Amino acid sequence: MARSTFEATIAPLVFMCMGVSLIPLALPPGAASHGSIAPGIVWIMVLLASLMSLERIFTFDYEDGSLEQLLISPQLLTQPIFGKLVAHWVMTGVPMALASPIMAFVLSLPADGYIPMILSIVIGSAYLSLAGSVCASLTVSLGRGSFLLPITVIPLYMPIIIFGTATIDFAISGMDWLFPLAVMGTFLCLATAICPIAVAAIFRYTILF
Amino acid sequence: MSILGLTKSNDKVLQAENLAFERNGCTIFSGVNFYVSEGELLLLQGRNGCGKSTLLRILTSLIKPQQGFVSTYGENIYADRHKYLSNIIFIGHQLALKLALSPLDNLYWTASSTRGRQHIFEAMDEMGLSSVSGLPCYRLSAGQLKRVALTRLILSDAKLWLLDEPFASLDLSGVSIIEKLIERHLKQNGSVLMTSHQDLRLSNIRKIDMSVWCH
Repeated sequence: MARSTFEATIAPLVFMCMGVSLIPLALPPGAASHGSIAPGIVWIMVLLASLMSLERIFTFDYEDGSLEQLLISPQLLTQPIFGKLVAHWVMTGVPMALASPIMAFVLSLPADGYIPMILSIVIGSAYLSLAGSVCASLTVSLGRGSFLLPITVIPLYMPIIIFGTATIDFAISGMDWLFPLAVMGTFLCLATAICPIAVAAIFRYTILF
Repeated sequence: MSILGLTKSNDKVLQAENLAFERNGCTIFSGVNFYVSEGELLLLQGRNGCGKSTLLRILTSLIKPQQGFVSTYGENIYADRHKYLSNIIFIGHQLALKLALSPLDNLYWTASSTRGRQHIFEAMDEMGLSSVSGLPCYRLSAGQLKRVALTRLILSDAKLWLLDEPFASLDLSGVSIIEKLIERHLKQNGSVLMTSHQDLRLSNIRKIDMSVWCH
């Protein structure tokens, strides 16, 4: 059990590495060598890996009864939920940000793009965890492998993939990359304020049991 | 009572009035009326699938009934939900234990706000779990896991215990430990509402058969 928890934690990271390493093989020779596709590919993989791990935020707690106990504990609901989301980001988003330089190297990203890429993944993945948790809480009673989760979450993910790739593209072409990064920061601030409260409200007012 | 603002204080820790619940258009039970007083054990009985667990979840405020209401000391439980929830403990079929953690860590998570580590050790000793306190929970048997979950009863200050088949998967010594706990709780003027298919060796039990409300 402890081992399966560990495996599920690193699964998004492994998935992301595998995806990125397959892409140069599928493209015509030389297509991946000048780095223009790197920002898009890295961000798509971050998004898919994050999507894959979303289900884990609440499903286990729902199945083993922890969520039930959390809902009838007299404490404020938003605090433990926020704690869970921070933990989810630390276990999935931060490792992806740390591993991204290796993948960018495979896709031959120009040297100027590395630091903006890491920063954009750090900020972006925190937003992905927060926004995704709202959809994860809505679909928790449907069990694992529900197709509704990806369908509902993709619209919330779209702004992040636009500004995430823009951050790296701007850096490569020598423009001011702090601007798209700041937009991502704005999204993160909004999500931090709204999402834990939204998740708590969803758990309170939907029929879970 | 509360219609005219004349709230009368009473000693009914829990009172269900005319509860009805339906799921997917199919009525599970209706017209449920009962109460639990201080220092009393109410045993809910009834055949499988007649809604005992659902009724317990309604009483914890996890589910809202379609009709009727639940009150505590004459006041609707939703009026001051926070106060009501700090006065109850619910242990159901799902034990809310994280299998990767040890029993000690699991209990520390649920009981940390009120008690120290020493108290948890004493409680686990009373439940006969002292030899497994450091093992990860996935190494324990179903009965041992049930004992770990029921240790929360010792650690909690709640006056009202809501227990859904607490004896399921417990051995004979486990059952007698829980009976002792319940007896001690009742002596301290606490109340217990539980479902069980077993007969208890306790005095001051009131039994209710749910089949009469069942559809």
